[in-house]
Amino acid sequence: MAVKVLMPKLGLTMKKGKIAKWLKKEGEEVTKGEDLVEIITEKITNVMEAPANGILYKILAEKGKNVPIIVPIAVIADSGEDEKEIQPVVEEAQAELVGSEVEETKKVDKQPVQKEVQPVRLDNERKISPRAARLAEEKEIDIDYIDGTGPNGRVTEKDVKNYVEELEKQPEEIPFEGMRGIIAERMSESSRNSARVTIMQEVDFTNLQDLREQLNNTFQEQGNDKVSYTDLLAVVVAKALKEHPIMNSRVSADKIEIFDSVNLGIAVALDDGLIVPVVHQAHRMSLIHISEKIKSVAERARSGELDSEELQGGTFTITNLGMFGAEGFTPIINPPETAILGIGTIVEKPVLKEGTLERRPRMTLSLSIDHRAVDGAPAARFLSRVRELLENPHPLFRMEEPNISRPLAAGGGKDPHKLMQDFVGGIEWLSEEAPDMAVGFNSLMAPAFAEGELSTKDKELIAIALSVYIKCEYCISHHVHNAIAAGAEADEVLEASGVAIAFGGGPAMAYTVTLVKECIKAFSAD
Amino acid sequence: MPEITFLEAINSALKEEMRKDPNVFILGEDVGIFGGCFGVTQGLLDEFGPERVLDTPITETAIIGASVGAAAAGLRPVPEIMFMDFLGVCLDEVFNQAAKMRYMFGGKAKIPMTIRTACGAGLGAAAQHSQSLEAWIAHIPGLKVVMPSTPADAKGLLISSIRDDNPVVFIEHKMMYGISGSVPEGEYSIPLGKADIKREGKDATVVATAMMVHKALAAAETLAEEGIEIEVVDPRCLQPLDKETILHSVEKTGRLVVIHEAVKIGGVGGEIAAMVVEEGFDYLDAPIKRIGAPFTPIPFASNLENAYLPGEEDIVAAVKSLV
Amino acid sequence: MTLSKEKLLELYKKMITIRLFEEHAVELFANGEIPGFVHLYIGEEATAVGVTAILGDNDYIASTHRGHGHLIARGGDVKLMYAELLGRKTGYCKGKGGSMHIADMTLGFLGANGIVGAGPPLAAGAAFANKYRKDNGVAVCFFGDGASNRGTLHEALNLASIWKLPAVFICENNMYGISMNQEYHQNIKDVADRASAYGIPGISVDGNDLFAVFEAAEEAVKRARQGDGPTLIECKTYRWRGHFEGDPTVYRSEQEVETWKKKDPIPRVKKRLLDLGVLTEQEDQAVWDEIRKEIQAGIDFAKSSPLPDESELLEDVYCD
Repeated sequence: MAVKVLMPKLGLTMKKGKIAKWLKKEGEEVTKGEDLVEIITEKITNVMEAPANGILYKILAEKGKNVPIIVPIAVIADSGEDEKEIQPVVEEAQAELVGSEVEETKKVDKQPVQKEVQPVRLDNERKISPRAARLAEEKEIDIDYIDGTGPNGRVTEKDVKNYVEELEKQPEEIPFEGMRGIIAERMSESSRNSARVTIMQEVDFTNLQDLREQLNNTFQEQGNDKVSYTDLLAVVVAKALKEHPIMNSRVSADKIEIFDSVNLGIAVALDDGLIVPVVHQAHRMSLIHISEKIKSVAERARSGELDSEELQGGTFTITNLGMFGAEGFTPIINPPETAILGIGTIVEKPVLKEGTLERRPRMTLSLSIDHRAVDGAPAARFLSRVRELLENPHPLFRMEEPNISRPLAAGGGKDPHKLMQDFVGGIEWLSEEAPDMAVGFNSLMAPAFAEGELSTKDKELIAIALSVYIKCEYCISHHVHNAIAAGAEADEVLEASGVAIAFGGGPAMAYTVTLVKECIKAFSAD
Repeated sequence: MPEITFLEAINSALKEEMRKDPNVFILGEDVGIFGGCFGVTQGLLDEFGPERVLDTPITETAIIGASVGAAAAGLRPVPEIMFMDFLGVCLDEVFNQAAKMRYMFGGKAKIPMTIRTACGAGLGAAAQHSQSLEAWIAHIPGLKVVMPSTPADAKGLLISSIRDDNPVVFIEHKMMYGISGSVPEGEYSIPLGKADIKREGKDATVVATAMMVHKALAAAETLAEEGIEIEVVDPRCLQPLDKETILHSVEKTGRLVVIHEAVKIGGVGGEIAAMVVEEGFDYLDAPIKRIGAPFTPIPFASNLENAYLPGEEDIVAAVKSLV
Repeated sequence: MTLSKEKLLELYKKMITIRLFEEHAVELFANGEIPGFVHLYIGEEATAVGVTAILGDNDYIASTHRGHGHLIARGGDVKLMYAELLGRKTGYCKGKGGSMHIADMTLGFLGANGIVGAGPPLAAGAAFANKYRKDNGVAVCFFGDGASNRGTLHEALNLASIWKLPAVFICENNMYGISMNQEYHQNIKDVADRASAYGIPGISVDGNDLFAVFEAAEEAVKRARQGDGPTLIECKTYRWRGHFEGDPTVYRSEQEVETWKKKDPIPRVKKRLLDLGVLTEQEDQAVWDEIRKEIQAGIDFAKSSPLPDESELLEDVYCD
């Protein structure tokens, strides 16, 4: 049976081999183990032995060709084997070889990570200076990977040198010593010893935003600094910790220590590391007090002026990655504490609020706990309490509660009034531009909706069903408006839509639960 | 070292060689009592007398033809062709007689003569008194072509030219006669065929001749302010050409601009560029740029002449287009 | 000065040498052994021999494309000449010049010249060198009637005249500038007339008359050596062969050639020698035979000489 001769993998790193020389001709008899072909790899020339007895039926990869490993380069057939049987093997091998080339081209097209955003190159034509070409050849570099910075995008010697430097560049080493060493040690200790679970919960920040605005307005009038969300969170967390003491604790191999005082660690990112100064007695502090304290320790953390006791005695830590756009994450507990709370970024999201889609600022809290000390349920309860406090913070800070609603336009964003206006406005425009058409339309509409055997209301209800069925947004708003004006109740409008749903199924349903619903709401209120 | 002008340097070289070698004599139009059209041969008549400082009629063919004959007969003439443009009048004597005698006669003749001639625009002398025709000469086997850019080079190279047993065309850019520079005192010579690096740099090589060396040096200052360091190479001799120095410089910088005042098309710059492509292709990190005058006769009006002449800005622009 | 009998016999032999040299060149050219062009001097022998008879060691000659006769007359070696004609390494110019560029600097022979009219300025320069060195030498310039129209001659005559250079300008008027008859190429009958424009003596002589040529040259050279300046001598003569070998000579009649062949300069000298009793018919035969042998030896030398080595191609462009 005909067998494919494959480009052998001759070394650990070998990806491709080049045919240096076929030692047998097509049609020549070969014995298994006999030298068949010379292959050049990056390093050396190897002789490949014939993998089978028979006749070298077909050489697929000629001298000089680069072929990826395990791709057919020839076919050996049994002597006297029927050509009909060999041909499919040859064709298959051929296809595999061609396929590998296509793969190869794709690989070549793939660009490495670039420092600057550059337009994607659409062709493979490269301009390269002779000097650069020679260097590239010497260094055996594929110039397709090099970006030319010379005139007209020409690859210059400097470009090749930079690329070579990049290739040869040793990774930068930062030894685990000093702060990095401490971080490494403590983080791995935490990871090794704690049984970490992270619970995430999204919090609505609408009220907190409002509260912060109110507070800051007031503080500004008083000449105080503004407060940050971290400050507000610190107060809220301190309060919640007092309510859930198990969270305000430390774990060691043989015991859990629960503390009365909330000593709140605030993770501060430095240029070359991370430090967690502790705000002692946080539960006793007013908002302004805690805000000043956090600012102070953060500043001194950055300038390296913290006292050693300010780095000790923490019972719970807050870490904030929100300023970098992170939403949820899985913070590592700052040992020997029991828990750490990760603060994410505030993201505007559509939220269903009492059946209405609203635009709401949301933030994800990520609470990591040491399951050795705290179980999931109490932790979740604590987190829930934090959320509750954050979503209804006004009483805690003795501020007046607002009633905030930020509805998204319903019906896929379409406002019923707007639709009405557009339609009516359009008719008015048409009356001027093409009065005959407008008059014609109106003389059609007026009798159709006039009181007769059927009341106007009934006719409008029929029109609603039709409008929903044909999925015309303008018609829906117009006729719901008219039906309600003609005395229709919300139920009646919905029933009319129901008829449309019976005929139109899903799409009619979609319009009913969105635009029809919004129209009822909008026009009933009018 | 004393500062003297380009003109004085040439004058001094002539005097020194005439004092040293009684076979050296000069001839040409108005070289005697008039002291040369530009004053280069001032004082020679007084010192050496009319037997060795010969005023000729306006007769370029006879000046060069007779010089060839006298050189073949053992003297060492230094004829002057007042303007290089006039070489056309006596070209046969230059390129069929002087250049070829040695070879045609199987090496049995030598023609030790140095034709001094003034090239260059900038004087409003228009189309027939301003040309730089060095490429014509450099194209003829048997001739040597010298084109200095500084007083020191002019003196040392003229001395070597006069002592050389081959016919040499020594081209003096007329706008450089007044340029001053330090010149070593006493006898010294600079070998023909040795280029000089007038300024070192790493970013691009600018090969410039004669007046353009000064333009290139000015451009180098401008470019240096932007952090581009050009290497200014003055070949000094176009035949023989110091290929090695040029190639070494291009090997170092990877970029080459060649500039001369002569018309770009068919100029020596093309030869230098081609040589570098042939022998130093792999050194090149950018295409070679040639700068030369446009393909037009030299105009008269000052503004046109200024527009005609290649200059510092051209060099700056060319270099910037390469780096 | 009259020519001594011995001197006359020597000049006669030179004329025969020129004649036979050129006749054999015809054959060699026809046989394809001479590359390029060859311009033959047959018929003009009296001019070259008559002029050079008066020259001494410090004197120079500037020759023409039709220069074989000038060099043989000056004492050139026919072996080296044939070798050069055949492009051999042993030739006068190592095979780098050929017929048109044969030179012998040891004889003050500044070379045949491929450029018509190139010689006069060169001769002026050589004459200047003689004058500069005060070595009593003169420079002789041969040129044709064709070249007499070139500016080079006029610039050279002018310069030589104002500087009173010891130069003698010999116009070999063979009636044709290539194919153009003198009648058409200049508006004068005697090229010698042009001397008057430079305030120098100009004289026309029968170029086929050795004695006439000699006398005129003798006077001119004497003037030159005395510091009286140049002279222009026109020698009216005729080339029996075409401008170059292979020239179909459609521009002249057989009859004209035959007329001139009757004025062959060699028998005229022979007659004088016979008259003077310097030579018998028998001795004449011996002279011709002897020269034939010399010519044959020259040809044999040339033919047996190697071609230049290709490695010599780049040599002699410049002096080191």
